[in-house]
Amino acid sequence: MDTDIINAALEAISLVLSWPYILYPIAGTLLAMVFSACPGLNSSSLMALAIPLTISWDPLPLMLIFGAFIGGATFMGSVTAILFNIPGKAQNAVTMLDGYPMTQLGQARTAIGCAAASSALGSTLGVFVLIALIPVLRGAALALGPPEYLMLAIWGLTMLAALAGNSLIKGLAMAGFGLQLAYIGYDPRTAELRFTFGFDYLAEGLSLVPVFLGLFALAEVTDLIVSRREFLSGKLSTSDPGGSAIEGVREVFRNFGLFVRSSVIGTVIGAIPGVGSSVAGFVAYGHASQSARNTTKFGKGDIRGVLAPEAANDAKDGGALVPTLALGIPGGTGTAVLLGALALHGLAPGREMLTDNLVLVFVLIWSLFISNWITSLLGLAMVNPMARLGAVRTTRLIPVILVLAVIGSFQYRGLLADVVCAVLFGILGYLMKRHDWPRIPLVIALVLAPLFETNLHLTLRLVELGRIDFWSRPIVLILFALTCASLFLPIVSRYLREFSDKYRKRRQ
Amino acid sequence: MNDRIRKDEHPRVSTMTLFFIALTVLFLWVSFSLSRTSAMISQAVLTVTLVFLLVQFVLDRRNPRPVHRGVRNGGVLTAIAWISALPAACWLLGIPIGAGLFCLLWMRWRAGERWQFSAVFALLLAISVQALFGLLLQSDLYQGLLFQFFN
Repeated sequence: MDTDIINAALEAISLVLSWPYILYPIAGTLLAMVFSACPGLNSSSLMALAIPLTISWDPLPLMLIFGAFIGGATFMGSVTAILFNIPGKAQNAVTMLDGYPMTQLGQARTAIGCAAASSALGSTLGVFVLIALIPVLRGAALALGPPEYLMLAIWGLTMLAALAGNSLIKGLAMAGFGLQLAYIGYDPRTAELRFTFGFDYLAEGLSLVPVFLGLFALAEVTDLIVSRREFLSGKLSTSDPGGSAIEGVREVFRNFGLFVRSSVIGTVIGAIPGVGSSVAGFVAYGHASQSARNTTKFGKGDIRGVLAPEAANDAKDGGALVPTLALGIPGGTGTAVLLGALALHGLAPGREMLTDNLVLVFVLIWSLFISNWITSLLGLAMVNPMARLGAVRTTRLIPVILVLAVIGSFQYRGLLADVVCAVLFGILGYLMKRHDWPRIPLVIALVLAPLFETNLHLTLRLVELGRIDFWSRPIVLILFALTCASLFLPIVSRYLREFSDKYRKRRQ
Repeated sequence: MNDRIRKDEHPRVSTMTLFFIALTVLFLWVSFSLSRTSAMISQAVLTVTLVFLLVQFVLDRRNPRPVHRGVRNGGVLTAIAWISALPAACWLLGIPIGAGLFCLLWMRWRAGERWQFSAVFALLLAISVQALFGLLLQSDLYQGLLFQFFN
């Protein structure tokens, strides 16, 4: 490994552990824990709320707090899944399959202990894989030119559209719609106004802050208001969780092989744009149930059904940062918001990030690492208070989030029109959620649009000048093949599944 | 509670599909008034988007399914009204007072809390907003239309 990488890693860890910077990952983790423990809210909402607050910050504390937000969010959603059968995030849904039955069997502490240990150790493995990959990624990022970045943007869009939500068509349509929204405002080449409909506000384009706040924070709050859920857990729960946390930790070491395999699954899946968030846990769960000798307890409270998805879910956080930092393609919603925050601070992912700002990259990684451990340790220590978390009334939480969202969208540029924009996108976000239209491709297209547009123009110009032959570049061809695969594989696999089902029925 | 619950509604086409088609057509129509250089990418993206949306339109007609899963339309409008009330209050009265007033009304009428509790909660929220944004982050909080009018 290069000495500058080792020096950057050491400089970053000394910065993270120094006073007062150590407070940022701690505070960020605590905030992320609270948010992700509230069903209906998530770390993306928190990150969107934090963007306007952090706009005047230096990049260092920004990286610290966002690293903590990403790291602190994953595990706590599992606690509500285990205790109340309500996942904090979609990715925690798989933990419910065996976690909640364990609670019903009086083994909640064991399940949470196992989840905490596998989360902390899984994330450690993911972070170290990310660090080990940095020299390779840096070399790869330096080898990429405009045609490769263009194909990367297209691949990222099709990949995320294909995998976000149930419908490929809806995902692709939303990716296109998101790209179109990004074209509102001045054309960077001709200075011509595009799609402003006479509104001066739109001349500079849609600001990411109110759009994020609307689509995530306000949409979720609208959903909470409409659902009229009184308590976060849907019911008042103060009963003793039961079981032993230490026993849960021991289970990780008893099933160490499964833990390592699940962590590797999580890291690899996390590194593929858009796939990581909920797929990693389900694939790891599937692997655990297929590789086990005795599968009769799966779905009825098997500890391996908690261990495998938890290790994968946390390991994928490190993996998800690989495409985000190296290529500028977000691994999921959280990393998409992170990219937005980086863009607002003038930090460009890719070669610049992995060369000039390598210390900041390591600051983010160490913050993520520390945050994962804080979450797991606190999670272990706070099983009993968390069992009573479900008693928090949503009606007391909603005005606080609403006020933060409205102030956040206003304070960013001091424009009331930004607040109106956030409210409109909040309504759109809620309607999209209600009608099963994916929001992730829209948001990610907004983030990827500058990468797409700039590199498309550069590539067209280079081709016009005869400086490059687009189709003779091997990375372009590989990325084109991946784009085709991400578009057609879901369709082909669905038809193959239907065909095999029909064939099986005929034979029966 | 008088709102009609529309559990069994099976519309042939999702309103969202039509909404996105209308928006895309509008953008496409506007793009023809732009110069060729500025419109080129947008028109390509919009055409592809429109094709996907039309395919979704056909799929919606082929596979009608319930869209409104027991959600009261009145509930949605009420939620939107509450959310819109906060920016309106902040616009008129400024952020700290507007947020406090919104919180008071919300806690009393929506959450059903007692007046005393609602007032204390609202006051604490307004003070926290002022302390966090005004004092700690040193940002100028919007003072409101009425404040500007009387000064």
